[in-house]
Amino acid sequence: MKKIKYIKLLFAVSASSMLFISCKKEFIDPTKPSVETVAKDVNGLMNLAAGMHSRYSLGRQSPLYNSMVAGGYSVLALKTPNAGNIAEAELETGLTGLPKGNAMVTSLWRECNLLKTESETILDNVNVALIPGDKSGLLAYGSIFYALSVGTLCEFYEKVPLKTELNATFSDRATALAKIVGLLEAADAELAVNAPSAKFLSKMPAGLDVKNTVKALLARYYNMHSMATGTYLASSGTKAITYAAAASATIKSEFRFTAATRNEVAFLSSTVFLHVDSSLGLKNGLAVSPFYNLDPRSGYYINNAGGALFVKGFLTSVTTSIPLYLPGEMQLIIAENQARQSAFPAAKTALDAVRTKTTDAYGIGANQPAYAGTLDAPSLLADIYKQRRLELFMSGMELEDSRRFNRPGPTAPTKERNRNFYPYPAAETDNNPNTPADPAI
Amino acid sequence: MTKLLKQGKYLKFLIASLFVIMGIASQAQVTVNGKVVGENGTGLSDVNILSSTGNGTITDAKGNFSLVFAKAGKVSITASGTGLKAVTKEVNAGDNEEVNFKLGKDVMGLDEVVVIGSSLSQSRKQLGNTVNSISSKQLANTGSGNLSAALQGKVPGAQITQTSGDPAGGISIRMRGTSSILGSAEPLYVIDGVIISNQSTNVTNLNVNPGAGAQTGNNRLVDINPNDIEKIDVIPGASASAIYGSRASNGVVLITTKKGKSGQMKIDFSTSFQSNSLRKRVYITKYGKMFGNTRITNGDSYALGNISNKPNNYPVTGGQTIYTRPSDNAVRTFATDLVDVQRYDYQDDLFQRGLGTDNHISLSGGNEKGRYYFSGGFYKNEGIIVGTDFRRVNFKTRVDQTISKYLSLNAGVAYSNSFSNEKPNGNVFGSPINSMNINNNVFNLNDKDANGDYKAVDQNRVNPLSTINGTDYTQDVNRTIADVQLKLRPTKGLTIDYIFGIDNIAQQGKSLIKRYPYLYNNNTVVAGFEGLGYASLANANSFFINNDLNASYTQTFNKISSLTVAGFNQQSQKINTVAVEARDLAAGVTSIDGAAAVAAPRSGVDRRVIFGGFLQQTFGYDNLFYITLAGRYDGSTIFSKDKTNYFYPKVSTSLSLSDFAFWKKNKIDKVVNSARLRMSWGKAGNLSGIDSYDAYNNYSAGNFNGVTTYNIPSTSGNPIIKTERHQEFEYGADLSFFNKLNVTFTAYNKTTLDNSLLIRRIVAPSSGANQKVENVGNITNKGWELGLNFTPVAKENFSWNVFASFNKNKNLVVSSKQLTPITFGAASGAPAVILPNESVGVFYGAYFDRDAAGNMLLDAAGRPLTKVNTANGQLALKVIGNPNPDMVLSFGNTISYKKITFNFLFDGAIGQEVFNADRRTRQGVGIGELAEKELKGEVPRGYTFAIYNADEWRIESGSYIKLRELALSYGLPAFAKFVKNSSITLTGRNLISFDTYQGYDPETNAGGNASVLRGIDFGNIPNPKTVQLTFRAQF
Repeated sequence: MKKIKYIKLLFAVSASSMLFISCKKEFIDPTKPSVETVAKDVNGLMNLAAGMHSRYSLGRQSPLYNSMVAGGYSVLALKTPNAGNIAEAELETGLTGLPKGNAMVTSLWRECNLLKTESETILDNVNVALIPGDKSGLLAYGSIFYALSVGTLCEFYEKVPLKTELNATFSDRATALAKIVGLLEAADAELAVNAPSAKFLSKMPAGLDVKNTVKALLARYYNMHSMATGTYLASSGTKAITYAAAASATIKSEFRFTAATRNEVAFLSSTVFLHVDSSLGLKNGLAVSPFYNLDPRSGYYINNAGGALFVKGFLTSVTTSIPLYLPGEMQLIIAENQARQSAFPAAKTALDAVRTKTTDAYGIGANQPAYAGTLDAPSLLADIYKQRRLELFMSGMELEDSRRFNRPGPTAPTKERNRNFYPYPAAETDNNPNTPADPAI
Repeated sequence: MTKLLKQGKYLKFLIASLFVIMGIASQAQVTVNGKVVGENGTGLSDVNILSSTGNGTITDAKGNFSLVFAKAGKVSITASGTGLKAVTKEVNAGDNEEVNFKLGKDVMGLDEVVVIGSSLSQSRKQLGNTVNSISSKQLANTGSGNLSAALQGKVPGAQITQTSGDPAGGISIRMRGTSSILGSAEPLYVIDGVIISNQSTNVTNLNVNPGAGAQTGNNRLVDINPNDIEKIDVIPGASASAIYGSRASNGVVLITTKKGKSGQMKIDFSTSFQSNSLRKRVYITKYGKMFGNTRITNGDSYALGNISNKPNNYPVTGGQTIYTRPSDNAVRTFATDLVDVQRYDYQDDLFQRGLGTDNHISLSGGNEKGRYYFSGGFYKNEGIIVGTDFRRVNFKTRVDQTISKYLSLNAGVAYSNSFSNEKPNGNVFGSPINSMNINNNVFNLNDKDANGDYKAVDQNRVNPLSTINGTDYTQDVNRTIADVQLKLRPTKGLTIDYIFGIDNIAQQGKSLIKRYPYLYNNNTVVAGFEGLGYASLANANSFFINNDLNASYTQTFNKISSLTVAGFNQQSQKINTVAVEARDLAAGVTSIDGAAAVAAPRSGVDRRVIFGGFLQQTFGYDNLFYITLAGRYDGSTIFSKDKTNYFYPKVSTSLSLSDFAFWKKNKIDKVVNSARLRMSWGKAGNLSGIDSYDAYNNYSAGNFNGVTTYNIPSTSGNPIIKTERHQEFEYGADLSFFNKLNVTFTAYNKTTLDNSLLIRRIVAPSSGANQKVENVGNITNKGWELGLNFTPVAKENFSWNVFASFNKNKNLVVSSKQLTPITFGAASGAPAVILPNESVGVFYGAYFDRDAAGNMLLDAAGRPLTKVNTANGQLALKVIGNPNPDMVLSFGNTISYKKITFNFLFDGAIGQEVFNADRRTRQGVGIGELAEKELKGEVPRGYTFAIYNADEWRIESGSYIKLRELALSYGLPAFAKFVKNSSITLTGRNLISFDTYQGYDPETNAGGNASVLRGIDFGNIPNPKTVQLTFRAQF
């Protein structure tokens, strides 16, 4: 009898155990918002928009650091003073010395893709915003950062995935750029009707001018699109001219930094990377030596005087701002497309606007005589390229410029760049069977 | 709601039964007296006496005991003790007859009762799996105040590595190889039934990312005082999991602390003094030449250049040549002419002789009803790096009270305060060892400027003395481990245990890097090394609770015995963390206050609950054969509901051949006096493998320039991850020959099931995430353990014991979702990967080009060539090293002659490789042995640069055998009445290492306790050698 009682007790113990097991608690991380909640909440989407701004501009893994520095290395304008910085050293070597596992190639790819995913979430959910100014702000931010992410990828990679998905398929650059300008034009149209609300702007980091940035990026990516297939597409070129003219030359649009959220490019400049020479790496007759004394833009961007070498410009201190676009870039886009469309006097006018300026909104002066060379496409384009390199030192656009202006390639004896495109990082190739083969160089 | 009600009902039942039982307590009692003697007739103290009614006691110093029974009647009384063969006698309580036991030696320890669960113990012969026991004696004279270090060489099947020589240093324990990547690959630690944490919550070095999966904080087992430990039972296999469940898949270390014993109050006192020093220096050249020029100016804005790169931007003295490395087209300009320099050995400035002391006192005693144990300890130990030390203050109380014959209560509190002074850890060049490796040794570090401050060294380098005197890292830890345990014996054979345990760890970490007093000529600070000053403050409060309820019921039917155990346990964890980092420190301020750049504070709340229930049935037949069947059901809050609950079965058997009649009949017992076969099979899960929120898809929240930001986090949630599950099969034998030689052998095969191995891995960025936790593959660990124990002489005045253990393990990733290497970026640059058909964490990198005979191919000048993959023109990669040892072994010897005891212990690991990042750095900087050869022209110019991109050059054999312990002990003659006995011991630890390693010590790891990043030498503080003098006395 007793035994049965205790066996019963044993069962009671086991049964109560099972009860505990079935009581399934759920702990939610109080420090993080869930993806589902954010997509349904206009404030959450705004925080995500501000997050994109931060992802693009903050830290060594950021697209800003990696595109600026990789841009400089790609056209042989930078060197690595401390060889322990392996990723930078490999970018400096280029050619086959740039492996798929390179940390900068990987960061650039990863951060741009994540940024793209974040921008898609915003663009897919803009209708959550019921106030027009909130919606236009979200649409503009979503489009700007979609453009910067996919656009930056187009600067360095031969093909890019346009949409976030498992085993994403890749598109060529012409298709990618067409999608970018499409989104930006929709944002531009919306901004023309509804300016971003004060609430929206108060929730964004200060410094970025939404309206002018959309126009400047339209100019930049239409310009790239015009030559994306190798054959000039005049319709895109004309659009590039229109938007370049529309982007303000006086209103600044820039990424700002503070001591706590520092300008990482500035922080690492001079020790991790350094300019190669006073002519900012220009070669094959484009450089004038000693350049430092002849072109104030060299003195603006670098210090080569008295033997002390360091990079200045937008990298002067860890709180110096970095612009999203420069007035000089807009003029040079106009000049380039006028030249490609054989409107040589118009091209010269825009080119001279850059060559002869003594200063601009950012204090960049060229102080050069007006263009006196031949008024034909090759000569004008060569000078436009040179002006871009001087005006836009470490802008991240150098590799694309070098290809678009058909400068001597990586295997030419007079090479001006060390890669045509970067290899796709191992992180993508290893995990996505649809990743295309790497470009040879 | 119904659940709550039912739980309430159950509690009521418990309380009610408590009262009932207490009521029964006061009835007429009878006493049984007895004595226990050994083979030579002398009384044996501390022998456990247990009756069939469940009450028990311990013999006094003369071997006497007395047991009180509620009423007269037939009972059986068992006498058992460590190293003794248990004897059971049937007696009639109330007959007033003295019960005498004579116990023989239990050579195999088969009758030894080992702890197998929170409140469960069984005799070893009933078990089908291995349990290794370590006694307090083995922990006494180790020369280390760190419990895990004291275990080195004493646990067959375990690889115990001291990963850092920091005085609070990390220790990593691997049982039967690495079988989990995520979560802890360390065993579960249980002290007196309380599951304790050895988790490393990192509260210093917040500004350094040591790499994916690295676990660099201190192993918090350092808070436990080894002097308080009575016994440690180690269950290396997954078979432990029927009782401990999910967290036990890497084995269990069950620690039993000292308890009071009935009798007069006993006072144990020990004090020791120890001295720690650097065992071996690395080679630093003092050759007074350098390539380049003599412009060696402190704080020059030009880099001095290194052996493979001419000085930056000023003319070299003499010639220079441009060299393009054939394998990757990297171009360097070498200065070719030598200039005179004065060189220094910075090891002189960084290392010291560290002194320490360990003091412990305990008071214990009691009677049959209640016993107590109080202890206090003070331990302080200086490290061998100037300015590092560790201090620990311990208090411990344990009381047990027999309330009635049905109920006993047992409770303990252990408090410790640990405080350490640290320096930046290895994974940054601003740490002591790394700054020594990365600096050209041509600067006199002790040169000071007019203000008395250290001067700058080379451009973008930190003066190594700044890492010592300019940094202040401290960690302050208050820890309390408390438990209450109730034992109910409602009737014969039935025992119900309830344990409530709490482990609370409050950590505060502070870091300070003072603003460097020096600038470079161009007014820049040392970038990347916090030259403007850095301070951090981090608190972590970890709170762990475990509730264990077990009921066991024993029955005997003729020759068949039965043990039924059912239980439930629940463990919950809550870790609150907050951390603030600040840069650009204001003058005179050494904390985060007043800094110009304070980063947004971070906080974390990590909560989880793990729970499970089990039912286990053991049948035994006449001490000959035992079989155990068990089933367990586990769940956890961290996995999605349908991915967490699994059933884990277990079967084990043991067969005692030497107890069969034929054994004695055929006189086999004259040779093989004891023989037992055992086998065990079981499944276990790793329910604590992932972080608490890895299954949830969240954004990370932050602050940027004054606005709130949300972003895709570094690890995105993955709701479909499943619990990682393992299966283990082991079999073995315990044999004893001539009563002198014991052999224990176990073979095992442990494998992950259903490709459930959990890894946090990189995913395709185009899929919208950076990393995810995924189930990717299977790992197996196959191997065997052999333990030998030989006692040629065991006489009263002279005894000699020799023991040895071997563990061979083969770790293999048998399948992986990703066929290319899964990489784990490490700060050290170590290319540790997971690759199918290779061991976990193998090094996968570039290697030298060789001919068919294996000779290195050289260029025309005689420089090695790195292999190029002809398909893509890039460096060819392959597996170049394996950090997992083939074999772990130990060998020890103890000789006692009268009052003198001498023992030594060798401990080693064979067949593993170490990624020696530091050695290559020294060559590249130009201060190592190869650099010296290049300076002297003994190797061609450019040799160092030629080998620099071959990872293979950084791989070295990490095999070692160490003289882990060497001790000479002398029992002092009686010198005072009140002193019962006393001794002095001289101990040496890590005095000699037999290895070919070119760094400080192959026993090291920059990845700390990490699963994949192992065998990495990057700025690690070397393990010191220690000499200790100890005095012990008993009053």
